[in-house]
Amino acid sequence: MSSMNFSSSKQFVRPPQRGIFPLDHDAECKVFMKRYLECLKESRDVHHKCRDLSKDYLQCRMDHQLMAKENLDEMGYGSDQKVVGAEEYDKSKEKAGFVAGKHIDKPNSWFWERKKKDWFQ
Amino acid sequence: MIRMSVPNRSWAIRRLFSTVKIDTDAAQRRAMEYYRKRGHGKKSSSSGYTLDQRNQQIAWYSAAVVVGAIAATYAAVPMYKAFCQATGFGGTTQRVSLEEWADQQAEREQTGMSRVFQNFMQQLLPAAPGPRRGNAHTWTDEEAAAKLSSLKPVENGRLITVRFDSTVGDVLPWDFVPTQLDVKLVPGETALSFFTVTNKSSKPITGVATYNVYPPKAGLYFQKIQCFCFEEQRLLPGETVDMPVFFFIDPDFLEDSQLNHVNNITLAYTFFQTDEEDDDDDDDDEDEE
Repeated sequence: MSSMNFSSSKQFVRPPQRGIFPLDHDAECKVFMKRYLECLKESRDVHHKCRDLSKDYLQCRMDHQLMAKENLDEMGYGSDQKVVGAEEYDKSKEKAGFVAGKHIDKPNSWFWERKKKDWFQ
Repeated sequence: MIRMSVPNRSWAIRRLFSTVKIDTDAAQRRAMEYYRKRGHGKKSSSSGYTLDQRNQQIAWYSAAVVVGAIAATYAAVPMYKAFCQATGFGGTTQRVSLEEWADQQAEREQTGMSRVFQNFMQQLLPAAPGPRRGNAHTWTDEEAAAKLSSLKPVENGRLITVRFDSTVGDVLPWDFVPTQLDVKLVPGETALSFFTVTNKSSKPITGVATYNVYPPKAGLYFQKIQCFCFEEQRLLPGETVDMPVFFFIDPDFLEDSQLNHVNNITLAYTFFQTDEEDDDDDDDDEDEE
């Protein structure tokens, strides 16, 4: 999509304060990532239900020196920063219109995540 | 002016149109009288310029228009860039450090200026790092962090769906996919998302990612705390790495009247190849602490 941008609008490259995530070459935190992604699938991609697991992932990163150590409570994981009153189900179908075959109630998965024999089903 | 003798002309016309009973003689005489009174067109009735002078004026005006168009073409490039920076047109996101974000937030609250105006003013007068806004008080790291810790998810906010899209540059033999199709979150909530990258070739390759946000206006509110973009990432042959993005949507998103109907934001990443040599110096920030 960057190629569709006809303006020469490369924005100021000011690094974010927390910087860039170093690459996790040894997949040390992959377990936490898998747990988080499974939780997302179960909760239909609503993030605040899986907030604790994402906190675990960041904690793992810090433990393995893949992220600068800081207090996660101050990065949006504090107890007073819980999501209150968000809709349990975002009414995306009502807003965008019901489309036959879309958002069938089973976990979304990309086609390459299914086993090879399932690809052509 | 060619003067035809009157009798010949009327005789010729009478011969041709013998059935037409107009008095061409009298008509031609009347026409000649009129033009003679008007002055035969050699003297213009408007402002006394000669024909030559009027032609010259028109030539100068045309030349000025051409030169003006060329100048506008050159001026358009920086002006458009400034316009995109100020308004987030075309999906330019605002990449600021948290200090600057906190500063901008405070300035907006104090003075009540709009986001676009603030961006525009920053373009014109880039804020120098140092004492800000008249009070000699500099934001320290702790204060910026306190600003982030005071970021609260909006209560009863509507869920915004952030979809992820990934593209790989033509030459780059990488597999680059998001691990989750979308994440639904409330503005003010910090969220984590992942992309998986696989180097399918047999050489170590360095790539760099850029990103874009759709709809373009939402790019103003999409703030990233930490990501993997704008830094060269080097993958060994056959290696698979998971890259996280830690971001949030500014709570002011809900107050923007133009984004009232927007419930889907798309974050699109593109990976480009920078180097294929495996003995080039590594620009990774892997030992950043």
